[in-house]
Amino acid sequence: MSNNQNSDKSSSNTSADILLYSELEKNILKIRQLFGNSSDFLDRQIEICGTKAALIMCEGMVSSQVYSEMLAEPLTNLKLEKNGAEALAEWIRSRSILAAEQREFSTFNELFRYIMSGFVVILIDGINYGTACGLQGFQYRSVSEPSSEMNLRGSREAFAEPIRINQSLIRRRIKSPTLRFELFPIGQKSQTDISLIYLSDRVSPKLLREVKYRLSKVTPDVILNAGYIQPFLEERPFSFFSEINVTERPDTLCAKINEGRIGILVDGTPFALIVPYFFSENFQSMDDYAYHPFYAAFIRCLKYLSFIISIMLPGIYVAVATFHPELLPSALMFNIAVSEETAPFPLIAEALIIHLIYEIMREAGLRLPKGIGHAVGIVGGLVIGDAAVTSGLIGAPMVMVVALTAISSFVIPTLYETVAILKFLFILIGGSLGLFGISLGFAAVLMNICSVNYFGIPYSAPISPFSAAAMRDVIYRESWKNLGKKVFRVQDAPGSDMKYKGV
Amino acid sequence: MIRTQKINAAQLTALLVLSRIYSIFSYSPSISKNFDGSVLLLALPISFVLTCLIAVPCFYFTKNRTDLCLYQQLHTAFPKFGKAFGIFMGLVFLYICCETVSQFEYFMTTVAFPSKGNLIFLILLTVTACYFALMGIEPIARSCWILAFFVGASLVFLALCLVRDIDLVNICSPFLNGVKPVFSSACIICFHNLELIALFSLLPNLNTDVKKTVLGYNLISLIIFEIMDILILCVLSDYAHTRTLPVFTLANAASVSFMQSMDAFYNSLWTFIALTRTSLYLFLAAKTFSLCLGWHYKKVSVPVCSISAAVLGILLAKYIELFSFTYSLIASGVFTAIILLVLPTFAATANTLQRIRQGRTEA
Repeated sequence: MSNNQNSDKSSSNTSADILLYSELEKNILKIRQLFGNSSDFLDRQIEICGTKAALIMCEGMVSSQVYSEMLAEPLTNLKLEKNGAEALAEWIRSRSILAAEQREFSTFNELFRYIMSGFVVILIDGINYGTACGLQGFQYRSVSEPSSEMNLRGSREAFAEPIRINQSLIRRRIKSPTLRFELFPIGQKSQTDISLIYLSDRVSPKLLREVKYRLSKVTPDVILNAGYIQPFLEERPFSFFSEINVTERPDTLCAKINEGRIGILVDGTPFALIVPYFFSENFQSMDDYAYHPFYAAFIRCLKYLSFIISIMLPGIYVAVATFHPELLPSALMFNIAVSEETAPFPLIAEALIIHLIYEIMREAGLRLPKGIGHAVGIVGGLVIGDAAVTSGLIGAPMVMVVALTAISSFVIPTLYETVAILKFLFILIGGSLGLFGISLGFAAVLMNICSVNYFGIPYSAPISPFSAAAMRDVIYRESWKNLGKKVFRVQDAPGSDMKYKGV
Repeated sequence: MIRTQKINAAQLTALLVLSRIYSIFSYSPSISKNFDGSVLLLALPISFVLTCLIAVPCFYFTKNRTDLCLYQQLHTAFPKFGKAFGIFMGLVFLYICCETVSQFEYFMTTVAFPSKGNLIFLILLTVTACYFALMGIEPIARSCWILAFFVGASLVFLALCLVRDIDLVNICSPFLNGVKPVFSSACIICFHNLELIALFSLLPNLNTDVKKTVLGYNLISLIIFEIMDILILCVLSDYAHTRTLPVFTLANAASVSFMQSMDAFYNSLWTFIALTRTSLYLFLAAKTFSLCLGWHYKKVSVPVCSISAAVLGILLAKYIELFSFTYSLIASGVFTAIILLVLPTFAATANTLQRIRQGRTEA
């Protein structure tokens, strides 16, 4: 394309899709103009074998040691048989290894994306394309232990922030050519890299198409973490449950993509999104597969029970004590009556206050520095456990209820947000409508779970629609001898609309 | 294109069984016919056979076009009366819905919570059912499958708690008063089976064999009915005839060491079952009106049907005579007879005659 065309384009567009000029000076001027003299922009103009060239990068994004050894030294010492821009470009293209990742580009848009991703760009006078050399050396948090998905017998690696590190964590675990990473930028301003991860022989093409389509609808200019794109993958953002889940464990993500699911990594986020996800998977963990099946089944039953306790126990307690005391054995009923006698508030208000205090404490402990967080925990324990009872603000049985609810809610960390809200709703309906309200609320929650069907795959499967074959890893986990015989694929789940074979 | 929601055999069976057992849970000697427990022991299996038989005409009428519901097939058979059939069926579904809602309210305000106002139960049940209907039949059926598990487990628990109170001396010969009560009871139970209409109205949503489902849900309902009948007969005996809701009395009598009585437990079961039935018929009413009058399902049909059900339910709850009349009208089996026997038989005959006439003309 001629330079006239270039200038036409530039009048209507700031940087996107403007082709590079052949003249180095013009390119440098244009970059400086577009970059607006940003302080982190570095350009070093040199002469290599008599040809003018420029090395362009962003400060702090490139490893200075690798830059000197791999790029600066070979270029400054370079001696070509034939001088000239074409010969230099040819040498860079075909006869040199300046970086592990070396790419050519022809627009300013690509140039900016490369230098902002830690590449060093080489521009040569007389050549209307550039070469980007991946010499990233920016600071990032190294791979560390998972903070929210701890386990005892599995791997201790969690995702880090750089997307390429995270991709390597996956590749190290699945050494198959069918493992695909589709990397593309998203977000008009941030140009954040996101990576779709799947096994081409396991994934349903329809599901893949659907996910790509939904990602193409992502509108925010700046994508800073995976939470920005999650609502675009969901159909009903106001539902309590979602068919999209997150994990910070590479081994969990590998297990999921082996079942035909799609993982989504977002650069800068140490969590991966998994689509689609079943409700029952919230109760599974990597440790289940290391334990004996009977113990794994026991743990899973405990988790289901904990979920029920964490959302319904305060509501049921309030409902029973207020409306149906006849349900309780007399001794317990008297104990409750005695402790409530001195409390100034009705039971529903007590439950709301104490759970609200607990949520405030939890939030404070979570956001504060660790040292202070512990102090908040101790103060919270004293306030909730002792002071509130001795001051007569709440009854002692309510402390027991809140403690049990709080502990149970930590058993299923992936459902914490849902649990926190539902707990309050059940207290309200239990306190105002008794067990009738609790039953209606439970049915409504069940309906909410059963109505999630984002990708044509029911969230409630394989419990409902039921499949005995697919239940082999839901409550009771069968032994690996059986599980290994046939790989479960998410598109084969009962009630799925995506019963396609992989490509 | 809007995806047709599909439900499988297990889900459909759970849905129909939950809706069907509503009649035993809501059985009240003061409102409905006072059945004799021993008679019912035999009447129930007979009604099972009769139910299978009355499904035959409708099955033959609909078997070639399972992608169309009963109303659509009747509309195709009689294009002139299509809308009238649709409105009639929609009103029948709405009627069943109102009857369920008002009966639920009757139970809650007379037995469970005599101190509470009647509107709150009725409105909350209708609102929740409206939410269910808005989600569609697939989520309703999925949640019913899970609810059926809880209901089943609770019934087993209830039965186990009552085992020690069972007195088999209370069982007597079903023919003590002759053969007539057995057959009349069987007929009443059979024609009270409104779930057959629901089944044939759900044809496009089915992913299963209709014959097997009819047999399956009736068999499971029969087993539950028999167990409940034996429990009422053997635990409560004649005392049951004096109670407003014998099953509730049964739950009141049951106790375990850690629970004083199980009536609150029964409240939950009752709520689940009433909610299932209300949402099923609300869905069917809204769908039928939507098909026949061209109403938008979510924006018009479901809200209109829900509001109508709530308003009519309030009226029925206020006037006990009207409530008794509604109950007896459904119990008379007139709707089942018209929709399952008369209309399909008539349509199938008309179709056959038309085909014969066409054959003669061509010849």
